[in-house]
Amino acid sequence: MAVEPVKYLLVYVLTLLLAVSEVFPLSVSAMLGALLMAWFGLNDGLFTYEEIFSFIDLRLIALLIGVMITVETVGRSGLFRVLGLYAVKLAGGSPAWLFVALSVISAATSLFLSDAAAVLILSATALAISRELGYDPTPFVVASALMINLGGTGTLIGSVSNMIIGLNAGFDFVEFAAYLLPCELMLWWVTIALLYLYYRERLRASPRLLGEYRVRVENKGEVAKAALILTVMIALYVSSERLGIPAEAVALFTAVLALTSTRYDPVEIFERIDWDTVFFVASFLVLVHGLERTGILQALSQLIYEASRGSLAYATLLTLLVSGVTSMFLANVAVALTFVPPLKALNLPDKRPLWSALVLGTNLGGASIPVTSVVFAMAVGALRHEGLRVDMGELSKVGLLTSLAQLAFSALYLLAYFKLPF
Amino acid sequence: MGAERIVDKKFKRFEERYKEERGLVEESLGRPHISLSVEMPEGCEGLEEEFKSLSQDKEFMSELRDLVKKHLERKGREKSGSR
Repeated sequence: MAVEPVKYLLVYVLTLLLAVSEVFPLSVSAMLGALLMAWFGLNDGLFTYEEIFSFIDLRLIALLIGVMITVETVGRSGLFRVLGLYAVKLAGGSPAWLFVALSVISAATSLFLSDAAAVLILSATALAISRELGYDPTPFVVASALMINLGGTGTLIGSVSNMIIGLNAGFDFVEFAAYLLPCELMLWWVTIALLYLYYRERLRASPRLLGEYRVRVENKGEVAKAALILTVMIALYVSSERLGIPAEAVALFTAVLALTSTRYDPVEIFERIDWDTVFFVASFLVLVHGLERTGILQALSQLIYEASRGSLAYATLLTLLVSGVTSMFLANVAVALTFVPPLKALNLPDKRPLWSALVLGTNLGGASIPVTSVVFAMAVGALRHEGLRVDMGELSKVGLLTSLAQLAFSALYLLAYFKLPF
Repeated sequence: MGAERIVDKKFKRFEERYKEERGLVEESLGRPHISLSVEMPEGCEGLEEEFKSLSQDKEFMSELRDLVKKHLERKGREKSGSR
């Protein structure tokens, strides 16, 4: 049945505007969009009532919730706080080494924890240590937030957008890491070098001694259990393809293992799950699949094909650029969900570079501006909470410069890694 | 909505968890830490904004630290005197 696609496109744009303007939380904006999409779609006979529920990918939702339960339980043990404080201790009192140590531990923590949980731990650590030593906390906290956004770019469970893209691309944990982890690790050092250059004047304080600073570990048993759960989780993900276990099954198994082997109250763990993101993903899937039925996303696919003149190299660079730039201003989860149908429909023989470009674009564009990035906003909020003055324009400049440099490096990486001819 | 207000709104959702984490970091560094909930005193009507921003007021926080120190020193003297 032929339908007028304009109103569906308007519903999509309205949803994004509501989400960006913070009129409603992300989840509520997407729920409203999904409701309008369902109303118009049912009236126009675009899909049936039963089909609406089939739009919600239960495998993806299971993967999201499983990973969230596991990282919340592991995070609660204090394992990453302890590791962060030890890393800082190893760096001694030098501001430059402290900057590098905090940056590395931020990215490494984000490989295992959600970005929100990681930024809470690392902002608190950066502020406590830099204040103790009398250093300007801003470079440490900003670098930590940007490195947390970067951390996890190369793993299937490193971010929500990665889980969306990885499942749709059919990448298992090892395959995903093989394409993207080398790029992430190189980007760690590119980013640290850039940020150090930018902040070098503010990091020129005389080194001070950290004093009698001993890291206290109150609940050693829980910290050990958390480390064991993480080890089991990684081992299972790495061997999941060989064992024939899907990623969402590993996530749910690890969640149950975490809940049953630790002493935390499951109700408290469930309360801290990022339900806003879960409901946003479920509702936005309805919106995107509805839009797909109108033919708009196929038109976008055709547009990408024509703009790249059928060249895989151009299509990869275009995907990286468009997804990266749109993720600077919109929720990167929404960008990932929107790009999946057009990329699936693209008539190109090898789509691995395109999926990899989408992963890099949505992750790296995700922390450019404090106003649109939750991670960046939380770090800036922590600085303001401590009574520090922040210049939003300057922070946006740092974020944008970092994202653009990371995207440029990623473009070179993709061309070289997949040996893409023009 | 201004940029700072949007950032504050996003941070607000995580503020309690941040305070909790900040306290845990201080504890791990061997510095015990407490969080207090203080109601606005009576007779201060019209000063809600000033009251809510006290935790970011450096002068107030310094006075509060002095008060805590004096109080603890007195407690310490009482404790050693009673032995």
